[in-house]
Amino acid sequence: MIKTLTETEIGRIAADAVTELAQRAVNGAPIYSYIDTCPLAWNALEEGGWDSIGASEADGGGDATLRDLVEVGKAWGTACIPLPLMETIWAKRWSVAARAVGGPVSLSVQRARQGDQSSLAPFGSLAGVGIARSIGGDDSFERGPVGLAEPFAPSLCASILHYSTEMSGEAAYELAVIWAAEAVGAAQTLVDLSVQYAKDREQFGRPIGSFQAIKHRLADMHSDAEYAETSVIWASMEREQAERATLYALDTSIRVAESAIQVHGGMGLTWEVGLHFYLRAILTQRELVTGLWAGIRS
Amino acid sequence: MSGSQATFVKDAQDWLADAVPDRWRKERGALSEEETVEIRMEWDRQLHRGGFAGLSIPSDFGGRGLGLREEVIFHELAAQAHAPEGLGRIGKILTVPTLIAHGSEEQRARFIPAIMEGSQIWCQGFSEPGAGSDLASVSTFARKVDGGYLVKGQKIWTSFAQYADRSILVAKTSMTEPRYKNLSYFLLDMKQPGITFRTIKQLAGSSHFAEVFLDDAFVADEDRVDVEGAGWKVAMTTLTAERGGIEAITRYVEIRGDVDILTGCCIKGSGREADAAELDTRIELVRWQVMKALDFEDNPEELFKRTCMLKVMWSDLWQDVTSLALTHTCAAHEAHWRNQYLETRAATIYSGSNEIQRNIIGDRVLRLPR
Repeated sequence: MIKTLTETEIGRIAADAVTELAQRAVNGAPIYSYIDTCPLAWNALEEGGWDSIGASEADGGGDATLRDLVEVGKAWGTACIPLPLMETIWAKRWSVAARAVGGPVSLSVQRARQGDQSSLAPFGSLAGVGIARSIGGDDSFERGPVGLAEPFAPSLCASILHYSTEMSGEAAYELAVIWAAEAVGAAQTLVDLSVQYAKDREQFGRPIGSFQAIKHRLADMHSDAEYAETSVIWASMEREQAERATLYALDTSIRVAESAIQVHGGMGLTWEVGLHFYLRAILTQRELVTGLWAGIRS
Repeated sequence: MSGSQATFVKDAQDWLADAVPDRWRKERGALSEEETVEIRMEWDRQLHRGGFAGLSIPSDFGGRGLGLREEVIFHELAAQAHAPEGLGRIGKILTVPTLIAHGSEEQRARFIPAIMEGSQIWCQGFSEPGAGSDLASVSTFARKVDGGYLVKGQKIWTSFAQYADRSILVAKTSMTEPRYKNLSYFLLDMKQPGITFRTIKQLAGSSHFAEVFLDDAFVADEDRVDVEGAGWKVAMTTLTAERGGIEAITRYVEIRGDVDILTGCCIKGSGREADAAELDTRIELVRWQVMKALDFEDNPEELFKRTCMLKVMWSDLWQDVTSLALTHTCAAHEAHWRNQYLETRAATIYSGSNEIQRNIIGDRVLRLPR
């Protein structure tokens, strides 16, 4: 049936708040300048209660639905700030101990690669983050930094561990949706950055966005970012379709990131312009989500 | 789903189950052209009697005064029930919204009731051999005479030309005014001696369009919409009337059917199951994209941001489906896929080529420089 797909009020409020906090913290600075020295204090997120909006009201949370967390994930993914906000929201939704322990929390996922028993923990190399041994059981946390740093995606501060966090299939499903939503937020930012660049950058005496070769690529990027968003919303509303829908959202977001680099030409290749930080984050999120689904199936 | 929506769905399903002619549902391929036309003309009258004509047209103008959401719901249910497509659709989706926005009281009173009842068929005289994507460069000329105009020129890609009573028509009315100010918009009587047509046989063997030749066809002053020279402005209303979601949901049902044949039969054992599965994901996303867009029904700009890509989305997808299917077809489905493969070549060209659709996204949504 033709359904309504909108989020509830708490999702809208939290997404707006997170966007504003991130924007104020970043204050227009280029991404490479804040990726190593986080511009936002964890306290600011905790004081607003934004880290516990996913818990029930009885547990002091905001009763956000998974559909709401898609909006928050998108908003947070837009900024690429190196803090485990979404992981903490998810952990506090599922774990009594995570709600009690305070401070940022993250987790570890078994990688879905042949001949590889290692696990990947986003924010595992960040000091003060509690990496969960399990979520939804008799949970305990190991204070970071833990394991061997995995620096591929600087905004995710990941590390490689020899254990993965135990969790239920339902919890893993929700986490897959949340990470895919972050990737979609990054893709939307990349569309905005590329459109702005194509308006500003001139060659042959005209803005390059006036050329159909660029314009059509940007139109496809806009469309892809829309499908990626729709796909992750679908995943949040239909559990049984969520594996293919989250992976489609991630693959499509990666395609957007590749196009963003192409539209930026030589600038897109530079470390400082920093489009690669988004691409690296999305690629890592795909690896994590793939690992989650492999875990759910086994 | 709200209670009123559930009632609407139930009513529509009950009505469709009863109204769709058995002959159409079961032996559509075996019907003669005369029978096909008769069923499609009668379908418009059935829609009116059943209260399902013009669901989203305001009740002041004889519609039901419901929203885009109900229109989309009904089109999906109708496609699922294998309902015919009425011959009156150009009148309902193009003429009526244009007359509501720009027509005179007298024009609305004269044409809208007949269109809603299904007693008047319309066609669209916009494209010309020399004016396809570049509509503003039409060269059909309407020369001013006493009481009206004499129209000379040629139109092309006209659906329903052979059945139409009237045509919306864009023609030049000035040789001196600049581009975009030299056009006028007319409601042309198609049943007159100055008009002949020839159907165009397409590459798949069927004929969905015609060429229309206008040799001093007469159109009266009272059949001009708005003032002389306002033709471009009026035509833009016609072309930007929001129908992306309605068209997409109809296509969704058709493509869904094709993907079911592919995944349920032809692709099995081919080694390309994963490719077919991705097509399945993409067709479901067409539907979810429409649903997402409908939540922005009351905000035209936000709505368009979410519907502007639908045509590119389903037409590219449909071609991908038929290409994969043609390569891996079983013997029983070969004729189907050959025909679908050839027919879907048109999908990325008609109702605004995909290249023009991408320009529209770039210009209107992303606001890129021209």
